[in-house]
Amino acid sequence: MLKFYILRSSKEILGHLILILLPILLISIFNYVNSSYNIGAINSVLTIGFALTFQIYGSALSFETLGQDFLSPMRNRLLATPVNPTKIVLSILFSGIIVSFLQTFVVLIFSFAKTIL
Amino acid sequence: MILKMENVIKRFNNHLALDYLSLEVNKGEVIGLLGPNGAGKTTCINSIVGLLPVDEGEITVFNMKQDGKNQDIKRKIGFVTQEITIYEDMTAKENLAFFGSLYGLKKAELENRINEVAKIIGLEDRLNDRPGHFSGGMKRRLNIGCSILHNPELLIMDEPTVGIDPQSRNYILDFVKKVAAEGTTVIYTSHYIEEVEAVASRIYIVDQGHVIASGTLKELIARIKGDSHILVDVKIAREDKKDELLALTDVKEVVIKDNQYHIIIPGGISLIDKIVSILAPLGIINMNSKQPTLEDVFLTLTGKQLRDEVN
Repeated sequence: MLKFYILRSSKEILGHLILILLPILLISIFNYVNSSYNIGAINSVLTIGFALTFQIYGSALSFETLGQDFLSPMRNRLLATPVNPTKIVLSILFSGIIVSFLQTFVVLIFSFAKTIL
Repeated sequence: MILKMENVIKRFNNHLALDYLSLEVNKGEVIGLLGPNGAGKTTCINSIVGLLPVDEGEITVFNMKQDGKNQDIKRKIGFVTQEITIYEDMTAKENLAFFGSLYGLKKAELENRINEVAKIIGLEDRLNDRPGHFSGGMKRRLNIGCSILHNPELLIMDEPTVGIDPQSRNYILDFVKKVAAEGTTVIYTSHYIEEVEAVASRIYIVDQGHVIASGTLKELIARIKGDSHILVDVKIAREDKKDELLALTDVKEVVIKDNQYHIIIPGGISLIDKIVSILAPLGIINMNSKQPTLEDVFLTLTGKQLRDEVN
């Protein structure tokens, strides 16, 4: 079930690309500005900011999925199955956590690489 | 017996949705639940599936009390919802796989059932497509497919043909006949009389939350066989003439539809002269009588026409 919800979350490819590429682009630009004008630890601030943003996005994604499944006629179909609804809700929440973690991880790796190179 | 509902009452605030509703379903039967919108069909279905707790009465499914929490009952029921409840952003195969997995199907067994069900619903060539690109009929078929992956003993279909083309409707009706022939018990709700006539071995007519008649099609028609049905086509029908007809002694019911008066009178009584004299000013185009159908049964018992309720 978790696999299905991760798959479902990953279907919004364009959204995920924007959310990963935009931070990478911004970090690159600010890294360039930082290296040229020596402003300070702007990369760390940006990375932490993006990481927090991704966590909020992950939560939003989870709640949107919960809304689609439990505040719509889909609710009846899911509740008619022998699966405990708590298990479905947890799968949705965990899928959001995993997706936002992976996004954060990509940005962290990029930021780290930029810093040490 | 697969299902027994005894004097079930369900209230929504002051509205009585189920009013001492009782019904029985035996193994292998196709039960048609017929009634206009708001009659209580969906509430009845939701109570059977365990989605709605009832206020009074008892529901027994597979000899187990339905309290909404019994997983053994849920495992044996396939539920086709009135709305199309599939994930449009997932492929047909992913949809089938997900709903199959909810019923405990895994790996090879799941894969086999997906292929079998895809053939049954006629979507074997579209398994990797997203339903967002499907026609209404194809979505309806996928909706049904998601409910039969686990080979349910009892298949409950809540108005499964709403908003689809005649070809897909026939496909679904043939499907119901096929699964019934294989031994699956089916509860089929609809406000389309011809669909219920086509598939049901026994019919329950529901109105205002309770069963007003039940039996086979022949038994139901036999109940009103004594009545005569006179159809009079006029140039322009008027409501005041309906009242005049109803004022005649022995006229049981009058319905106007598309400039046609449908008049029900007890058999053996001739009111033709009086009817003609009342309707002549409207310009009678055609006049004839017809054999009773299930629609006439419904009309006689409730004083309503199903389609009028819908439109």
